[in-house]
Amino acid sequence: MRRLRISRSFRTRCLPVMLVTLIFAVTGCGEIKDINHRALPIVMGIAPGDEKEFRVALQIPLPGQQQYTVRTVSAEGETVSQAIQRVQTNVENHLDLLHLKLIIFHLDLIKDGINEELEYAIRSRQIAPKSYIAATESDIVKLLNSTKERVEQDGTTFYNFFSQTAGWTPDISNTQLWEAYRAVHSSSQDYMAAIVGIGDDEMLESRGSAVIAGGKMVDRLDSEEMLLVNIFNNKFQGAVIQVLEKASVMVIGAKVRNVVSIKSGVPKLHSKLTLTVSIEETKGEPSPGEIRHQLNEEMEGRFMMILNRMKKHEADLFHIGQHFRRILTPDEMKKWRSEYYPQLEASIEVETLIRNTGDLIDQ
Amino acid sequence: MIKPLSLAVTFIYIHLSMSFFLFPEFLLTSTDAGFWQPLVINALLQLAFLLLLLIGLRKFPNRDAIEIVNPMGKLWSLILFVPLAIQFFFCALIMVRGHSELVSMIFLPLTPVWLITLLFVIIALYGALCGLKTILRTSLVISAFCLPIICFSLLTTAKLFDIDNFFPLSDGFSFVFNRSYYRTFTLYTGFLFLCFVPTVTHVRIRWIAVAWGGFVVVLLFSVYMPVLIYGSESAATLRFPVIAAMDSVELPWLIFDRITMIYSICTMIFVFLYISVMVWAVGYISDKLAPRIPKRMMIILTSAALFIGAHFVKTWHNVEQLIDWTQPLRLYSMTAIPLGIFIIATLRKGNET
Repeated sequence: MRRLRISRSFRTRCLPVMLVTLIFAVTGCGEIKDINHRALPIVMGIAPGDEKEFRVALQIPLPGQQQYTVRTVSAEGETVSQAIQRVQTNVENHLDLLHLKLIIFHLDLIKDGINEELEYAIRSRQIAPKSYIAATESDIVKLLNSTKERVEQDGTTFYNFFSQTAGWTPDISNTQLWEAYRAVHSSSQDYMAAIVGIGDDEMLESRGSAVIAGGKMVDRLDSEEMLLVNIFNNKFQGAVIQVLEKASVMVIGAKVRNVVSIKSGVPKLHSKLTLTVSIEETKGEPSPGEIRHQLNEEMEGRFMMILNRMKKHEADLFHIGQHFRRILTPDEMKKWRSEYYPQLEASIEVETLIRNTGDLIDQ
Repeated sequence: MIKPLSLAVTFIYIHLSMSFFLFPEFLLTSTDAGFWQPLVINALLQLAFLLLLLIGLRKFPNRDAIEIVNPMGKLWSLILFVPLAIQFFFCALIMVRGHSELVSMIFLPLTPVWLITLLFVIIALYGALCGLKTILRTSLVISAFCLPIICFSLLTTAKLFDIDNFFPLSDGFSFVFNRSYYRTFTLYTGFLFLCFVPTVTHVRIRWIAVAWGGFVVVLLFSVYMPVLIYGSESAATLRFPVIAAMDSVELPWLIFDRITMIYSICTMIFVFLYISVMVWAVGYISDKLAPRIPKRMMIILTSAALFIGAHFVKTWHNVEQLIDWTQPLRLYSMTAIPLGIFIIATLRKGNET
């Protein structure tokens, strides 16, 4: 009993000492940058510079009385981090890249390779791996300036363009930074970056996608081809219109099943794609069978065409190599792109289900 | 009255506190594929020694490990428990330094490291001064709100999983020659604190076994989460794979932009408790072996040494070196203490009857 009392009084005596010491340690007074002294850029553009290696442009919303204004600042540097540092010296607030939502690379830069830049983004830990990446052909400073007005009305516009829960449609690629970084080291996963440009009315205009393999741009896909790639990578969501010769259908569901095998060193892939569609418009009077047949042929042809092009570039856009992980050893997987992938024998079977024909009954 | 549940929970978080920061990195670099192999082998090894220790302790209820060994001669206690105390100290030091670097990388890049270290040491010191009973009771309260958050944030990552990354299932046993593999043992020595629990509460083997099962599952998850998202090649290049994987998940409906922050704070609380237990254990061992030095004095001295020691570990590379250098000590404590206690307890029991 006595012992207990002693220890309790000791504990209570100790508590104030600990709390006072904690005041110094936990208040975080080392971080003296207040929130109103921080600038939080939402979009970053990276392009080759005129005088130095890189030009980095940042779009920064600045809070005002009624509504915030958006500012675009840019600077050049030998490395990306130096360019950001230069921007920092020109901006009166502390730059905090924590809330960056989109990184836009200039196509010229992607043609030379962006692996180092991606590594920088992950290494620095400032940029969230879930921010989106895109590409552009336009001048990045002009692009960010021209979209200013729209961003001033709604700060999340850029983000919504790529966000699955907002305005994104499956015919645009919405690659995130972590997916791009994954491809730097992965032996079987390449990715795309949506190419955006300055639109007339809309703030951004989609102009297809850049196929990036080994950190470099190797090919370009249009939005219809994109759709197929997104379906294959389980990124299909929502609905997309597909125009056929005699009808226009809305794809509302897509599923892929892959069966893979290796016979005498030659990888074989058989895919089964099931599309669920509803009919939107018809020209003439096509029978459901005709529409199904047309869509099947269209998709099969498109898939084979993209695959053959990708095989030439050794770009595994459909992540086919992933399925071979079950068969190949880690060492063989490292040679996937160069040895196995070009020999790949693929076949695809498309099945279309017409779920409904809209509010009209077809005869 | 300490509930067996709080002991089980303590057992889990002692292991969890490490399993998300240093452990996945070491395990992912130790082999190219088949990460479950080293993990399961180590966990089974740990289970074997854990059971040995518990069976040894059970032969003398309400006696802790030192009280069991002491009648065999002071020399035996010194041989067994002095290395253990040093081991505990270095475990605490690695945790303090590793996590202060982590806090600095994730939350507070501008705060001086010594302030963060101070925060760790002060809280651990207070916990250790209050004693094991208080720590055990606290852990139940804290786990009640931390464990659900941790589980939730871990499960949110499931939506990015690519099951194909699970394969190939095996890459042979070449990891045995890899230094990283031995570094993972830092986690598995956590169970040794059980040596000193019997004076406070009865250790129930069933509860501990369940806790062991629970933590192995979480461990597997924490290693495979980055692998399933990033693929094994890329995951091995990341310093904190779990944090990076969790940062990649987008949850627009959640009010927090980055769930990692909450998650890290929860595991950080566990680290505080972990260090408290370690510091307390050092104080307890010295109290039993050299009763002349007051226990509280020893605890305060240990904390001071922790704080000063953390200054000498200047870089991340030093942390890894420290782990490598203390490796023999760790393997010694992990094997010798359960074995020693089991043998001595059996011999004494045999002599008595």
